[in-house]
Amino acid sequence: MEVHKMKMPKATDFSQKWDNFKRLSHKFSRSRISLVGLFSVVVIVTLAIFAPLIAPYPEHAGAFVDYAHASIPPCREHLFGTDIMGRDVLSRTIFALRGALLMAVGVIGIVTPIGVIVGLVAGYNSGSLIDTILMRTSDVFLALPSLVLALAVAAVLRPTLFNAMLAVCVSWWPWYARLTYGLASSIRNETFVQAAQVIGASHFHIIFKEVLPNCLSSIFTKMALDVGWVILIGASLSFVGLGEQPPTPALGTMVADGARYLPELWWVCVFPALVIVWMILSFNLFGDGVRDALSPEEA
Amino acid sequence: MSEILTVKGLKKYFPIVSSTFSRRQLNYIKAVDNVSFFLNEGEILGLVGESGSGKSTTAYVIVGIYSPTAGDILFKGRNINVVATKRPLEVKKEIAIVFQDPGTSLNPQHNIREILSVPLKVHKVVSKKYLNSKIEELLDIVELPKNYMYKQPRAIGGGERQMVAIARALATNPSLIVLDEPTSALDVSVQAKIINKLLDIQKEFRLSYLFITHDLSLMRNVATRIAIMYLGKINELAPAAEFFQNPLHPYTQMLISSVPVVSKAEESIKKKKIISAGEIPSSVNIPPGCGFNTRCPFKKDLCFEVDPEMVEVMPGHYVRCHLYQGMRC
Amino acid sequence: MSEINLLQIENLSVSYRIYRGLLKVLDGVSLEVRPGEKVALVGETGCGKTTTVKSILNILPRQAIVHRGKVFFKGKDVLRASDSDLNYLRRREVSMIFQDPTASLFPIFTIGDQISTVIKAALSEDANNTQLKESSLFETALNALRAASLPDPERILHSYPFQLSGGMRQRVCIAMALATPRELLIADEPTTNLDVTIQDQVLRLISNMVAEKNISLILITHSLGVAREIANRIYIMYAGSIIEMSQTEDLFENPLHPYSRALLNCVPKLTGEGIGQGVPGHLPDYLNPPLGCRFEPRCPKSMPICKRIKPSLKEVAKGHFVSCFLYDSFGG
Repeated sequence: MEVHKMKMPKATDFSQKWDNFKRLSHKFSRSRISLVGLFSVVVIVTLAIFAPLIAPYPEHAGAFVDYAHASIPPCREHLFGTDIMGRDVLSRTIFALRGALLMAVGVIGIVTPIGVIVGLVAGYNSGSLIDTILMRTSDVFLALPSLVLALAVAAVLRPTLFNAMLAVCVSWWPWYARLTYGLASSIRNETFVQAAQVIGASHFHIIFKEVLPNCLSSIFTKMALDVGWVILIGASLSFVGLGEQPPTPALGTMVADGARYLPELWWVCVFPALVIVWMILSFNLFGDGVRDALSPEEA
Repeated sequence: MSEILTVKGLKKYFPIVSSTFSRRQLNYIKAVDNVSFFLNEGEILGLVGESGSGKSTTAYVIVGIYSPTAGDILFKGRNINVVATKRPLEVKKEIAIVFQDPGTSLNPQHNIREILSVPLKVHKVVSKKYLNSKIEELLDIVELPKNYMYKQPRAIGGGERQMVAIARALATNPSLIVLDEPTSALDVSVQAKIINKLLDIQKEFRLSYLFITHDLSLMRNVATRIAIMYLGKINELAPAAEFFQNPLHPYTQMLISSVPVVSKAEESIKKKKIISAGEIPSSVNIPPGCGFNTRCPFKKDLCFEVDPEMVEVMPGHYVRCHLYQGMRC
Repeated sequence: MSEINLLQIENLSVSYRIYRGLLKVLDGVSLEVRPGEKVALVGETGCGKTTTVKSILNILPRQAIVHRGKVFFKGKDVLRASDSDLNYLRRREVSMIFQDPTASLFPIFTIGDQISTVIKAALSEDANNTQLKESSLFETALNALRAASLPDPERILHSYPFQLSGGMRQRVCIAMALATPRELLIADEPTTNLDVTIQDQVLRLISNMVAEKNISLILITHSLGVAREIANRIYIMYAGSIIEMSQTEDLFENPLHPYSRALLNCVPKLTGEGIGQGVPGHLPDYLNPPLGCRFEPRCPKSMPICKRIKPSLKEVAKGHFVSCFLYDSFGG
């Protein structure tokens, strides 16, 4: 019997992963506004990384004083104007992006592994004593308000960026634990997990190689959308004087310092505030795109 | 011929608890209630039943997804009454399962290579060097192209996914494979391909199958012996041809009458016409006496009081019904 | 012919728009149903049966594009009908029941609420009807449930869907579909999710009810056995086209198309003669379907002409139509 055998393209691991990436990118780009978010995020990250090269007056980001050029309104040489110490607001703003992003990366980078592991172990053992211990512990931490805790930490330890991050981490990780717990406790009843148990796979294998990959979409989405939140909290902390200490520029600090001089020297406060809004908006739009890309396919 | 699997008095009850506050145990779902059978080496035993019959639960207890509430499961003479995580590794190597829905029994985040590696690595079937060639060998047995290795389950069709599930079951060279409705979710042309492949593999590797389905016509062409289950109990057990030529239990007759057939020859096999009536009762409140008494056209008073015992009416043909109680062979 | 036939689908071609292009699902489907007839549309997953019947009620999804073809119900063009005509069609002339009765019923409303909504919708346009009073709605609903052989209909009217078994839910859907007089019932795989003994009861119920009320029936199924039990005439569909149609007995005694033959061969039989080999290959890629016969890549009897030209449905024996060049005197 002559049946035509179709020539199939060779599928390698890389070509499959590339196909997957293309498919996700296509889903991401279906929404134009997410692409705007992505572009914005890329701009922010580039500015932060290459700040010394891009900022017009990089030396203004450190201990610098020039009273001769203080309080100049926005003009061609100083697009955002200068503050009362004569420092270029634009340059300081660009450098301040670093602290904000570092905070976001640091917090989310620490919080995610801890929260996810707690959630996975609790969810896999859902209904047992381990579950109760882990999740009630996370409930306790969930009850702590980030800002108040940060103030307390600052009172005890020195107010630095690192300590501010620590304070936020302590109250943030339970959200990831909760998310992962919900996912893991339902995934553990899926047939492919039962299949792995019948085969004889170890608990470690099942938790990290079978359950976890199915949680990643939701976890990544949450991470992307959390960046905006962490930036906001970071700005709030530096607004009250915690976080990066002067002379290192921080967006919240700049807003706080400039607020005193409103409405005459409006540029010192308004521009950093707008940049905060822009950062959060960009990351939120980007996060929406990530969520759309990773959301399950419709049948 | 030796018995590879013996099940004696197997029970699996699921407790129903009341609300969160009192957590009192209200009742049980008696999913499997005193089931006994044996499977000979190289044989295909079919378990037939509708919803609530307990056929899938029986399968899940045998492979260790659930632990039995009571009763014994003997595999090659060895007692394996515990859940899979507590069983010794060499026992898990010998027993495999193929589930009904390949869409959920294969991890959607893995590619086929990763899926097939799991049993190979857990039981150290081959060394790392030969992993890929062993996977290619498995794909070959189920007639899937080698370049499927890096594809994910969602990229291939339902029938092909089920072939992957079968390849996974074969990976550790098991002696017993439990197949829980392996083709119920598939089109009839795809089913044909898979069933034929399963039968070929069974002959070639001399495997024993516990084959579960609700499709009697399929069972007729697959099983060596057939057991029919209803509300957690076996009602009749007989060799395949005998089962259809001489169905004794009223439920068996009702089920055979209900099967839609495609030829006049088959119509004549459905000779004992019992028109199906009534609903399948819930497994929570099983009526006292024989569980089939709500729908049986031959019920008598005894059927509401006493649950019948299993009786060997002819050599190898067992039935559990008051109509045949005096007919031991 | 449109005056004689209740339903006439002529050369329907439908595609779905997806981001990668157009899925050319239906490729010239023609189908007819006469008053009082029971017709089965048999095919495997992805052959386009559900798309075909959705066009009858004009409930195709947003991404569907109708390239060609017409659907006539009682002589009226459904695809170009006005909203009020379509409304009339759906409320009073054609009903549909689906595969999953649980998904077809609102979980948070009682059966009584749902069935009375359907009855009200069907009767509300009749200017001089007296049936809109609550008590008569109740009576009509009760009668509908009784006609569907549901025990204790009053209790069921007060129940929620989750309190009923799968078989009972499907019978409720049937009762709702036939509560008020109509002319055509479309049943899309109504018993696929049900147990075998319940399937038997539900199929007999559908068959009896449509016979009693002289309603035409289109039954979609992938089971040849179910089609044989219920239908007078059977259409077999493959990859978006009708490939064979005949009276029921003729099809099973003498299947003509290679696909029909292969399909019949691989159905497991109670006689225990083994199962056929199945059909090698896959469904065609609807993005780039073959220009000729869509079954050709998998056909054991493929000829050169089959690759180039698509065969059309021709009457080969009395009442027996096939779309295949093996039987077409112009081909080969």
